[in-house]
Amino acid sequence: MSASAGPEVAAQFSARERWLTEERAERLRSTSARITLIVILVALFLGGWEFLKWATDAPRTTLPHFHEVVDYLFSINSQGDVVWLAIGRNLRLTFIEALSGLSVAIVAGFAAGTLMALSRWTGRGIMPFVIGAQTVPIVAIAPALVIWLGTGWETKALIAGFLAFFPIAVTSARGIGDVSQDSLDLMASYGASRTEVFFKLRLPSALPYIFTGLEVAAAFSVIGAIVAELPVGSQEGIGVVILTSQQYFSLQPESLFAAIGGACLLGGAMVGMVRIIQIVVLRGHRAQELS
Amino acid sequence: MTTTDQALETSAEQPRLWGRHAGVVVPPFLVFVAAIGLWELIVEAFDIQRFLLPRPSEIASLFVEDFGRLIQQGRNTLGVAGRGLLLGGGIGIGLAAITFRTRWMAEGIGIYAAVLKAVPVISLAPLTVVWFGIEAGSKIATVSIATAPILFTYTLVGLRSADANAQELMRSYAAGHFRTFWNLHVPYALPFFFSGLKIAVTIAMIVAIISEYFGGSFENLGGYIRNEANNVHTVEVWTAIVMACLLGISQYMIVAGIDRYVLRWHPSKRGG
Amino acid sequence: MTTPDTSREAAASGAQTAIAFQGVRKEFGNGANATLAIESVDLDIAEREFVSLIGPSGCGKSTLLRLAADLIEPSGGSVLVNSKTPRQARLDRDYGFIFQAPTLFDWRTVWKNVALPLEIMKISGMSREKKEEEIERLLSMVGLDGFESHHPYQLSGGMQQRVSLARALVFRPSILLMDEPFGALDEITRDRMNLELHRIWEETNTTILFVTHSIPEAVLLSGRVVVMTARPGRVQEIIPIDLPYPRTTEVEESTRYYELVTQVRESLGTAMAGGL
Repeated sequence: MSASAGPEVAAQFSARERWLTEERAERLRSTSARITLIVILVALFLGGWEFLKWATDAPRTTLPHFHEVVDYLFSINSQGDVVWLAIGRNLRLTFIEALSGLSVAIVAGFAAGTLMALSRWTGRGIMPFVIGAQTVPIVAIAPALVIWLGTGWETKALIAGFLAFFPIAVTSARGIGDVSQDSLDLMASYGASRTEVFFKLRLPSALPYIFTGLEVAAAFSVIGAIVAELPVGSQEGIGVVILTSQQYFSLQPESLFAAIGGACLLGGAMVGMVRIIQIVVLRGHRAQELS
Repeated sequence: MTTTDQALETSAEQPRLWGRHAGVVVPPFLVFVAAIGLWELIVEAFDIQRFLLPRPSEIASLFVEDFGRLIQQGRNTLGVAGRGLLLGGGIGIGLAAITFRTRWMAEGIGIYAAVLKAVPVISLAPLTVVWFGIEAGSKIATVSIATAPILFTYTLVGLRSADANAQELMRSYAAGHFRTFWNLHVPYALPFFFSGLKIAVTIAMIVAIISEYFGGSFENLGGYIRNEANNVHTVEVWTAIVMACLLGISQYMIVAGIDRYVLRWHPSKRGG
Repeated sequence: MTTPDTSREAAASGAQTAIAFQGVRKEFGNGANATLAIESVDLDIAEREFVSLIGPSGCGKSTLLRLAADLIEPSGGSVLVNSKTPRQARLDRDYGFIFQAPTLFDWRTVWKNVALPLEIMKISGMSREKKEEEIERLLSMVGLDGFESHHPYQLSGGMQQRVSLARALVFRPSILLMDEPFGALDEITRDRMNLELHRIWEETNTTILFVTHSIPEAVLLSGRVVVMTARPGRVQEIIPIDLPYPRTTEVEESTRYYELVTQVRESLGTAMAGGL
């Protein structure tokens, strides 16, 4: 803005300022509404839990009180550990497995998606298998991989990555391939190179698509890590805690609820992380509901 | 004018019918043959042990031999996946249809759906076993927990996508709620519903197999895989994988086919 | 502000040709499926001239424009842009192309959308400050100061098309190729945009080839109106528009203006009858 802006420009400018403030106020209103809604929803969830217990007269071995689960979290287990700390340690390991798997899947999935989008024959040749491979039951692959590569965290990360790969590959392929002809013509009229078309047009316009895939992939990476921990031989991780809790369920039902709660928190954290990155990265993009 | 030019270009570029199908069928076929050949070659060249990675030819011959049993097990798994999808879909679609006009309610359920999508559903499997028994009941419950939020979200967005002008048109006809819902919102929601369904069928199959893996009968793909994997019968495990993939892909293709037939009026399905 | 008409005449009949179509033919597809879009088109557009292409739907107006822009290649004949092949002209960034849709990048602000061509074209001898100055100048020329950091979805259709106009002008191309740029706008916005475009044309010394389906728009803006026949498109008639400059609302109310509109309409009628 030049300093000698006329009154007309000043008026326009202040209109824009006003518009921005309104938007900020609106955002604040919706944020506070959202927080209220979440508080209500948590209350409803806990209320529903206790109501269900009261209405069905369920014994502790079917559904303990919520506070019993909380009490259990702060008790000491047979190894002399505080329970929530022990669960936290296992969660950390599973988190590392899932995150490493997700990172590998992002790189591999994006590369595969880009290849499928930009090369017609590769796309046609591989796409059906990418869709088909999603239906490969990882429970079947996991034991073989564990025998093959050992029970280390790397194996589990690989399995987590396998599951997270597909949503990223599919959404990348779609986002990068789905560019309007006008935009391509525009870039051609500037004599833009293939690299420029990719980085200035295809990639930014694909980001909203890729993030929807990334959200699914984040949830899948946690599932993959947990499933990978199930085969015999694993010692640690939240999947192992869930299996052990299942075995001792009749003695200590609270432990299964605590372990499952932990796994759910991990999934939520993973997806939440992707959401936050998405909000930061896609600040300029129009809000999109579903693609 | 611009549109006419573009229409000209596409209609002229469209190859003959068999040519178009060849373009879709040939590349995947070539990739498939190449991948199988490579696999066979790698096992041969590196002398990989059978229990680690069997040859495709071995898997194929055992698959043919065991086909009768595999298809029976596949049917049982498919039954669980299907009933779970029916239940989850019913809940998801029903909730979307009831709440889509009431913003705060849809939003509230939407948050639960988002949480459920982030939750590793499979960790809930032991709990559903406690509540619904070790057999089909718990598996159906897990599948429906996994599929309900997907179909809820897609259906909700679809129902809400109904064009504002068309809604006013229905209003000008003095159409009732039910009629507007049926003649306007449902057609608008269908493309979204089918996108969600394509995702949900795949997920239903995966979740069904994983939850079978958690215990219960061996007379299904997940149970069979658990049993054979424990005995390191890798070839048998692979035949089950092949069956699971075949069922998953055919399910997906059936849904995609219905989608294309039902939505043949939709712009996205024409000329593609 | 008033330019003597004589210089216009000189420009129109002048020595330098900006765009030359010679016996141009274009068919889409091949073999039995081929469709002839345009046939034996001869047309010379002089430097600094404003020429409109008008014709029935499917007559190949846009095809002609896309040929000049090297977005498609002719099946026969030759196209020269600034005495070069269209490809060379494209690589030399001789022209700016404006589409019917604004074709803005959603993720970029207004400012960054206008800056896009400068990012891609490494224009020598233009400093960063100079570029920023130029963007500011153009945004204020199209009446968008204060909206630099808005995103496209926050703007109306008319404002978006003005951003696309600024974006086409920012690298100072000698030619503007415009494909029904205001076709999607309402009448009032369209009128305003037409007058603005005409003012910008007078200020910037560019050659404009303008595709439209609006007769009044073509007459108001152009030095010559090219009427095309229905498919396959040929040049039916070239009508010189001898209205005074600058073209303002007063011009739009003159008798001569109405006569010319009628003349173009009648020619267009013949073109359509011939095509059927």
